Amino acid sequence: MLKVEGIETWYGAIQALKGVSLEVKQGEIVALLGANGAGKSTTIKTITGMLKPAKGKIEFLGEDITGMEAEDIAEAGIACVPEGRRVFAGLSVMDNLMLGATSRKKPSKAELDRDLERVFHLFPMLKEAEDRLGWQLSGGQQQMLAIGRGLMSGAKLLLMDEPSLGLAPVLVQEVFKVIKEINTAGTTILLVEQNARMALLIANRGYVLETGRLTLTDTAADLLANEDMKAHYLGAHAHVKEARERRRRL
Amino acid sequence: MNPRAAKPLLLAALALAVLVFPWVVNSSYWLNMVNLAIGFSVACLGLNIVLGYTGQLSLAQAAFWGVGAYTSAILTTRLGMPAWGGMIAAFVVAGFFGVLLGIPTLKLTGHYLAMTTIGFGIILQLILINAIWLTKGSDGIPKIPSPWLGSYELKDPGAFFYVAAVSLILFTWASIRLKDSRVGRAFLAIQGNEMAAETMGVDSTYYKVMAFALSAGYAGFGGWLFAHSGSHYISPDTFSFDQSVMFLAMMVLGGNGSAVGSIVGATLLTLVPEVLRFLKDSYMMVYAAGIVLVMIFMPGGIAGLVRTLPVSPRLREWWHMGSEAARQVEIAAAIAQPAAAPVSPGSNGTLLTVKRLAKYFGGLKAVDGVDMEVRRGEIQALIGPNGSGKTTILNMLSGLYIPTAGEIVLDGANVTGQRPHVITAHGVARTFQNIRLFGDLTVLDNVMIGQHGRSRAGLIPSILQPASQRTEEAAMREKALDMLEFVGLRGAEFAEAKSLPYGRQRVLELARALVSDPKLLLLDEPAAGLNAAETEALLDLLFQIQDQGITILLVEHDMSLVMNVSDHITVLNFGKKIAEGSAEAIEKNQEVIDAYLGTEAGNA
Repeated sequence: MLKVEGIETWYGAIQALKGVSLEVKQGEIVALLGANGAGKSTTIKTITGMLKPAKGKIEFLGEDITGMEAEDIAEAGIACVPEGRRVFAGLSVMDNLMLGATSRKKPSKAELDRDLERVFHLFPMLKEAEDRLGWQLSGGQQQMLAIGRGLMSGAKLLLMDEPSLGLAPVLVQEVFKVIKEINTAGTTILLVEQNARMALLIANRGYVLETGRLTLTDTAADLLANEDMKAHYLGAHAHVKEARERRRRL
Repeated sequence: MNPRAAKPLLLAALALAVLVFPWVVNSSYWLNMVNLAIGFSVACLGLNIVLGYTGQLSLAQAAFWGVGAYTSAILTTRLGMPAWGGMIAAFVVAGFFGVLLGIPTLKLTGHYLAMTTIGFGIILQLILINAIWLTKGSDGIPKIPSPWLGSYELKDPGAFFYVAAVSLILFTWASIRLKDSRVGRAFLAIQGNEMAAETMGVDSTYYKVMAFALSAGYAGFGGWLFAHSGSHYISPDTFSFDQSVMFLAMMVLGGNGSAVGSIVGATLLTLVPEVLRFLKDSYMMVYAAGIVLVMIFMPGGIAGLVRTLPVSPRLREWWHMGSEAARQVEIAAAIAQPAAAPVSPGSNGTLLTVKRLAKYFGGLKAVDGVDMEVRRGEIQALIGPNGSGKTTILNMLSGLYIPTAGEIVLDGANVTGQRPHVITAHGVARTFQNIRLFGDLTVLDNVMIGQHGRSRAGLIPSILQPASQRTEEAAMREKALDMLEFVGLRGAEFAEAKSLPYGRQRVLELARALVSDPKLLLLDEPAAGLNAAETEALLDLLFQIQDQGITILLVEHDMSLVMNVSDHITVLNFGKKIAEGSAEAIEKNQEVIDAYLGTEAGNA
């Protein structure tokens, strides 16, 4: 569905991506993992057209979208749930959601109502808060709204950048459950996450980025079992007592 | 060449250029134009302080320029005061008017501030027109005397040029020095992020008024230069809103925040129309079109353009090599500084007591009667669902919000409802959920601003930089470098803060907070956006901070961090405390599991 081949992206004189190739197949959830500054968000921004790659090729549904403008890429059917939510603070929940549908070409009223119904079904809380303004929502509600807005585009491929950032554990679980549901309902997902463990629990496959290069790719199950991954990205899960003991040694 | 040796040579070259300039130009007309440009330049340097440094848009600069001109004109023509006395009066009186404008506009920002300053400028101009008994109204004041040097009258434009040039050099020198000093950093911090600046101990009220006063003083001095040269005549129509806009254009053309840029902008916009006069009727049109094109293609102004030249970085590096900061960085690198000696965690006892604390936003009870204690030397975590009031509590503790009810007692002192910089002085430092660094400033400067509340240099020492000020700066710099070493950011001292990757920005924010030697460190989601390995590193860093005797109150969602690092955990839900206790107890508390942890808690 999405095919990225050897993209190189620069910020001025700094090369952020040094030839990244990845593939997302129809119906998959693909996790993109890596440390801070590895280039995960840059990859997302390059796919959505916010950044232009200096080299490489991006294909979506067989069509070359390399270097196209962000709004044209959105129209082609790629939606993005950006890092840090970026909901429109001064607009109501309803307006935020409807803005998500901007990239559609003349949708019918029935079509919009159906999708709106779907979003409200996934996030009943958004229905209750329909008239509240963006800034009045808590962090968790804003994240739900950002995902809902992404869904309203009717996109075939949804890119999600750190959907669990700043959320309470119970909400993190909730968000990942919803991502799985969205996927089951037919939307393909490329997911960028720091919470590698949670991401791999719902993903089919994963890629690991390190300083602008892909270093590892495998099925989610194998990545979860990978020792290197455990050490670097999954956390040692030191139990409370262990940490306290290490504390004493310090 | 060594920049330290080159700087005096460059100064000598500048002095020589000033000395021979009138002989080379040798035209009264052009020397008058240059004197006029210098008068404008000084006013633009002032605007650069209030807008370029402090980020406050003022459109009343021409009015202050007029206040200076009129003050001196009235004193010298009516009371026979010598022009030099008028000069000091012009600076002081205009500065006073700057304070008058500064105080009522403190709460305003952006276009509201701009509107108010426009109104202020128009009022002043109306006073100049209508207070005929004082200003002679629209007729203006003619025959303004020239300054005398002993028995020699500086009437000739070439002679007055020396006065103007020396003033310009001094004002430029003051502006440049100010930018790299405690006061200048406070200005830049207010522009960068006012809220963060306040929690660094910067009293934004005080510094904004100071910036307005200084800026107006500069304008007043520029007005003095204008009144006592050229036609020696002033009238109210010169000091109009249009002229304020002109000053703004000059400064923006030169490059926002650059002192030398302001001068280049002012000089170009004064002299270019004269050069274009051969175009006859269409000359103003060509001039205006030129400005529009420059603004479109050089958004950073001339200074911005110079910065992007390929040779600039090397030139800047070379110039930088001569700076005191760079020298200290070299010294610090040579002698690897041992980390600050660990202080044993203070004796037990309560550092912070919060009683029945509440904050309502309209009908929303964000925090609703929370009692809490933080014990000295401990790491305490504050957890709870999104929107449960954790950040609101931190904002009240650091003074950004005034509590609706309740009491905050820190180390025996009641600090309820105090302003942020006062609370900072009591030993509280914090970081922010969405990082609030001063992005355009260097990593080193960010950490220097963190010590604002721990240092003293005022406006005059910041400009004159006597030994006491230099000693203080050096000590601050040394401490800043130690702190960067401690958090692992050495080597990035001169990088722009915004150029760091996200995780390193978080660490820099932590360094900026720590460098103020807080008793209580408030951390708002320090692990947000960090991966597992980075979170582990943060955990060790927190333990090291605790070893220095600093008490930590932590808001965080990453349970692998919270459960491992906390001595004590407080749980909030809907603005109320629902549980409190050790990590082990909280992990097993059913109410906490239902409201917050969920079933995957240990794994998240």
